[in-house]
Amino acid sequence: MGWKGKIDRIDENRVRIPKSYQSENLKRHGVSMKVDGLVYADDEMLRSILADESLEQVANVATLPGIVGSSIAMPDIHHGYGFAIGGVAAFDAGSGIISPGGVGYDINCGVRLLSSGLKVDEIKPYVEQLINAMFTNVPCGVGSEGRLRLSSKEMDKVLAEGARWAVRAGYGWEDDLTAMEEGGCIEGGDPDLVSPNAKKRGSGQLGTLGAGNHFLEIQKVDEIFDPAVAAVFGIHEPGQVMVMIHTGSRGCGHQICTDYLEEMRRANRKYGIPLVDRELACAPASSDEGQKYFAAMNGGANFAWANRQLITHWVRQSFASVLGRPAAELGLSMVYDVAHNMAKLEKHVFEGKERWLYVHRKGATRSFGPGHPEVSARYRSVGQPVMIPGDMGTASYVLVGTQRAMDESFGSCCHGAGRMMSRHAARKKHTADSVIKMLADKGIYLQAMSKRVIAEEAPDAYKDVDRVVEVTHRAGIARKVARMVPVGVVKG
Amino acid sequence: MVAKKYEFVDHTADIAVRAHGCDLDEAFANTATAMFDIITDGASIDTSTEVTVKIEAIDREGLLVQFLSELILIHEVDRLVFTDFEVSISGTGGLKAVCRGETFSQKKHGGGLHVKGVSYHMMEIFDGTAGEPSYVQVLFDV
Repeated sequence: MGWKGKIDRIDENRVRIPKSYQSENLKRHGVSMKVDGLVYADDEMLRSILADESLEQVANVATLPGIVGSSIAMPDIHHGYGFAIGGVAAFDAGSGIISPGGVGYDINCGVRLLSSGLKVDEIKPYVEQLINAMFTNVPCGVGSEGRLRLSSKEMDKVLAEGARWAVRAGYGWEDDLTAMEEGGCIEGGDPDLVSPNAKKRGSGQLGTLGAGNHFLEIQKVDEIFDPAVAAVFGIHEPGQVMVMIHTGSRGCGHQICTDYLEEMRRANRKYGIPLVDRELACAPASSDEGQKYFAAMNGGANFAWANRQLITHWVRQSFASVLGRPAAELGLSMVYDVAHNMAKLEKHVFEGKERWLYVHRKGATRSFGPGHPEVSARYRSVGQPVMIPGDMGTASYVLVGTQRAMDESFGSCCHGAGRMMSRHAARKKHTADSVIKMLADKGIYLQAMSKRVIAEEAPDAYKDVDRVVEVTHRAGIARKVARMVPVGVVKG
Repeated sequence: MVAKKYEFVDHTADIAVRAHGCDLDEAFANTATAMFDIITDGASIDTSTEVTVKIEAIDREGLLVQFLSELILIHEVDRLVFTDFEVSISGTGGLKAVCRGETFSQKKHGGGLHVKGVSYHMMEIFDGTAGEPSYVQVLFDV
């Protein structure tokens, strides 16, 4: 276990894996890295990164056809399957590949942040009631059923139209759509390329949170680093109440990945692409197989945006019913919604030339800088909001995208704290009751469906989010705007 | 029957399992048992319902992934959980499994983790010969 290859420090926040690196695995398959690995980490973060297999995975991704620039690892990187979690890789749209393993099972797993006009002191007496109301209104945990029963026609609309469908159906405000990546609906999501199984698995789960690391949190603003940008994002002062939602495309996306992984394994044989890990199964991006996956994946992404939109609606209802005032009056408005498991066709300037690339972000967030046409108009002058959720006992951050990210990391940055302790180890170390008490001592109220999940999600199972964000900020691929701390948490 | 059905293998983010068997059929069956122990409290599942699953794939790895993926699909769509599996693998590309379990109840079975998918990463399939036990290793995305 652990990294034994050469690694060169570029500066205090970056290291390089030279493309001359040859693992036994690469040798055995007769392939080599086509580009260097670029890892964002300071010395301390690097120690935990070196302890697992994630850098081998960064090297493996660098062997894939058509990779451009570097195989990139964010400071929250950890051992995934195929591609590491916290990895970014861009492939030429003409000569490169597209891979479900570079996106993951939870297509468009992402984070949404709502601001409010409330101060934490106003809601303190109601936190338990608010969390309990959210826990009741948003189905969560294993086996939970969605509150909607979609007809197959409606399910097709969800896959094609995402959050737009949800808002039109009455779940949200028109304004919500102007504060989301892709406006909550990516073009090209094709319901016909999503299997009946994926539709069956998804249709009963729209508007559900899931389990594991997914959560709903009531947070308070703890510190503002950049008041001017924060004001543009609707974040005004310490103590302001915020709500964060972390979930993805549920069974729909999981099944799309499962289906197309098999399709890609057949395509791999057909196109003769050598693989050092079966989970890197891929097809030429321009091939029929590649384009079908891309269209189905976009459908899954739209499902995820609709999912977070429904949950937003029920969060607003929960606040309104507990506090006895309409949600609009409480100011529960969108800050932004970002995807962190996606492959996107994007135009980037690389070595002075414009190139169309399939940018795979698996556990990584877009961090497009000021002026980019794909940043929502209301934020275009400052750059895209980036939300970084931490563990349930520490903090979460809002950052802003930068030009440096455009120049260096295909407009990408980290996505969260990143696990560093296995679930099994966390369960050995903690009980649910000890975690509940630990949080209560910090003034955080937790409501969860599964005791096992509580122990597994203990704060110390994750890397230090402050440090992850600090490295990201110092490296300049996103800048700190505000820090929030949890007040109440719902877990699956 | 082997003494120990499966054990967890260290993995930071997800859950890897190594399942044992006198032969591959049993090792595959024990992998499915492990998966439902991740999803629920497997010991609490009764066997009042029976479902037969048939899989064809391009190789043995594909058989394992598709078998387990099919069980996830049945679990999520038909709301069933399983605890007992009789697997018979034919050659490298065919599998039949009789799966016994019951309708899921959060109250009875408890809640664990959603298994999002069955990955090929770290996969090992060892077909024991001459009295050597078989094993399979698989990583679940949770």
